[in-house]
Amino acid sequence: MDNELHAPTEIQTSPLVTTEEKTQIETAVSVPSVPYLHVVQRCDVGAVRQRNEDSSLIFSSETGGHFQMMPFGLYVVADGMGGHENGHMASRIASRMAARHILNHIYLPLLQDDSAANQEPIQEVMETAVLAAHKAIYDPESISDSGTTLSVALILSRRLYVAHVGDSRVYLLADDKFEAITNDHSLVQHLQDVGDLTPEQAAAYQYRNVLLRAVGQTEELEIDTYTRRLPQSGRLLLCSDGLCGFVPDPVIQKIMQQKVPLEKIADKLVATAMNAGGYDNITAIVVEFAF
Amino acid sequence: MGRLTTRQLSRKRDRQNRFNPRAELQPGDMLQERYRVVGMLGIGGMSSVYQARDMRFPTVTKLCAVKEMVIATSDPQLRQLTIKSFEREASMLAMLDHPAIPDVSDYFTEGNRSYLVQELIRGKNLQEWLEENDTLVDQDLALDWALQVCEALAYLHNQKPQPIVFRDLKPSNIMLDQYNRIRLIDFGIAKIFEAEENRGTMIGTEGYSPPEQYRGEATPAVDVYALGATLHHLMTRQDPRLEPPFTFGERPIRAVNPTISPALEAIVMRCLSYNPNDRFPDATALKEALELITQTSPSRVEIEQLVAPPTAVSAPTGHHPTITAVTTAIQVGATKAEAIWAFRCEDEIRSKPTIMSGRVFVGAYDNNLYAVSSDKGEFLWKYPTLDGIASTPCIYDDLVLITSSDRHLYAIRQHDGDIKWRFPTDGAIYSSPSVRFDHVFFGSDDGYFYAVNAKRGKLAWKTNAYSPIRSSPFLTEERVYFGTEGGYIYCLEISTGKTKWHTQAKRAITSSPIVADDIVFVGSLDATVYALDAGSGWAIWRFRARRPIISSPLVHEGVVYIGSSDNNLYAIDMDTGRQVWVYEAGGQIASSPAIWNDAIYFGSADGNIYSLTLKRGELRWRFETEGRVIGAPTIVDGVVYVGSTDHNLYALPA
Repeated sequence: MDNELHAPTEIQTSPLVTTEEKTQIETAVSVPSVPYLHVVQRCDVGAVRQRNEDSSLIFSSETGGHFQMMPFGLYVVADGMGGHENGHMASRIASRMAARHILNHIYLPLLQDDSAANQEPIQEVMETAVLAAHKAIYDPESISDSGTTLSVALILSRRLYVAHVGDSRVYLLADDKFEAITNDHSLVQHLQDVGDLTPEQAAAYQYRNVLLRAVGQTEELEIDTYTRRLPQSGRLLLCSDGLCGFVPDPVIQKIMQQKVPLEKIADKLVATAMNAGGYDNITAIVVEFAF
Repeated sequence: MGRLTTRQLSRKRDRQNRFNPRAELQPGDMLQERYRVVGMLGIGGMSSVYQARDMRFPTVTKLCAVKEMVIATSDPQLRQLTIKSFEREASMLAMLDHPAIPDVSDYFTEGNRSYLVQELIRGKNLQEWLEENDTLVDQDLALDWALQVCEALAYLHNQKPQPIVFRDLKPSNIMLDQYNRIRLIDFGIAKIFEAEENRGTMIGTEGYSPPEQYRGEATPAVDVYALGATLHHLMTRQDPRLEPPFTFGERPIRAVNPTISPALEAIVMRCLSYNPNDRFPDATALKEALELITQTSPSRVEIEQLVAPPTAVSAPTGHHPTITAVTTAIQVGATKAEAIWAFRCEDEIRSKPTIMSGRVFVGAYDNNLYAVSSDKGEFLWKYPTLDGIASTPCIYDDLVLITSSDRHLYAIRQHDGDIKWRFPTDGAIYSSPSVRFDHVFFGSDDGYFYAVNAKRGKLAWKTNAYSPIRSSPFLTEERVYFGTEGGYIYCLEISTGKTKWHTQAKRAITSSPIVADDIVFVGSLDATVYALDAGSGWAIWRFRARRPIISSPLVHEGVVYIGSSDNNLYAIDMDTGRQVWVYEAGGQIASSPAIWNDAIYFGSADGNIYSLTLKRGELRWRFETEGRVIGAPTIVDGVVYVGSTDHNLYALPA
């Protein structure tokens, strides 16, 4: 679109709200002067495994002064499939491809032009980003059969976008409410959904590690996407099942709610997972946001 | 061809005289050593028509008409272009073969003039006929002439690869030859010769031309309008060149000429619709409608179908309404819904009613804003605007605010229907008004979005959106959101009208946006439902229907409900943009849905008002009206108030 041509002109006679009134309105509401995104990540091999097959990626952009741009935070967790030969490769390629796609289709256009015109819907970009990762890994000829979970979270403006495959998780903590935004694509979750397993049985289930969906596995891939408007402030957690598979949600919630620096929270999450056995690689991305 | 004022004409002639001292051809003058001028037949702004004798036939007097057009430009390149276009059009006209269209036998350019040689039609044109007769053209004669003109226009409109548009149909261009047959003369070919500077001179003088022609558009619908205007002139003897432009709706034909049937009047008025999409698309469609009323006496319903335009907006038929309130039970559809009452207007209701303090307010295409008691459907008062009302009334203090396609916003007193003030714009208004901070917000077909002081009716600000605005605005504390026919979604600052952002869809946004959870939801004629970030305009997701969307979305507990012309009502998850359920009605859904308790309500072009369960979209009941239901229902205290194009406003139990 040609902005020059379509930029509307205003014929103004008298404003509805005077400058004076406006100042009063603005000062009456106390909001943080600058929206901020603070992020910390930990990606630990754990206590048992030889190799770290998890990958994580964070990309934050903040602007200042006259240059105002929407807050932008991109967070990726991928857990390469255990037992497969190239699990670590799969998680690395998936994180890189998904991030590259999102930066190309959202972040770079934002830098180039602040116009929203002709822009691909963000949710579709999130979905195609996971598909791009899938295409990069999926090889019908190969017998290596590598795969990965992939959870991608994007904070743009005041909205959270998530695209997700597998059993890594995205949690949102806001107003003392802690909830998983994503659904696990795992056998154990499916059996609970259809009522074949109680939560207690599930906790001790033998095949907790079996995924029903993973990036790079089958030709067709179904991707879950979520969007929601973020509250004025809160925290976000992306993690692999090395954390959420061994530490119960209420325990994670307690740690996430602590009013301490994010570094401490991240360390505590990893330490708790280690105490629970550290059987798998442990990844945690902790984000604090305020608008 | 452009009509000019006499002063402009004489100035132009002066210019031409300077350019070429021999301004007019004189009897005896020879062209191409073949055509000897006998005399002048007519003179227009940029052209003259001479009677000439073809000297190729020296022993007999074979007369022809020679149309002379002046190449106004002195720029050699432009001149070359003009001649090329002329030759192209002349060749095209020479290929036509229809008894009502004079044969073109030759063309040439001499100096700064181009000439077209045509068959000479003997007889008189309908302008002369009007001057010589003082009788009104009756139904039979009007139909006869109309069908003959249509026949010729249909031939032109069906030309391949592109339809030919006559462009300048009016009584003086329609000849009655010596055998009393209709012939079309003077094609708009002269348009090529009009310099840029003269284009504006048409406005206000060309009573037969439709509004879009002033914007340079030439589609078959242009000829349909011009034929409608010509017929209106012939049937009423009211010269449209002496009236304000596009005001045929104010001069009902049957009020002057009762020999004309309501069906013919309705057909002519549809030809005269302001919006070209509301007219018969071309002469073939018009001809079919005319033939139907020649052969049969159609029922009222058939007439309505005949004149029903394809989209949501049309010109009013100009009937003078009488009010009848139907209080008995009315015909009920397949399942058991029965009306509490029905109130009959004199024309279609295509808008949503507003209910306040026991009064139902609704605008109709009979130009009136009605106030009816909400319990019994009894007439309280009506306020006549000057054109059809397609918008939903809005309440402000003791006022009802309503916009009309007569270009005005009205503030009417709720209790007695008296006008308090009105505010003019330069275009028909289909956008419904909304009030916030004591100001009324709405868009107009003139391309501006307005903020008007609701107490006094004075402009606060207006913002140019560069294309007609038919979408109704959504207002928040700080912002205004609306769509345009040009396909943009705008977000303005409510206090100043300054643009915060605008985002483009692929086609028009007639649907009215709604904002929930900081997302703007809106449908487009590009068959897509858009979810945009309200702060930035960035698309969050889009949902594709199969056909265009006019219906406005409704958001309820995380679900977006919207209708489409693919006959479906969609329930879409607000966060993911995924379909929750879909219900297929029997016709297009232009109506916007309304919710009451656990049910959703909407109308369809199949004539039904539907009630579905909210959770799963299962049919609860439907109520059958006798016309398409385009307007949205309003539900108050368990009563569904909804209008239909069968002229009735219904009150149904939810």
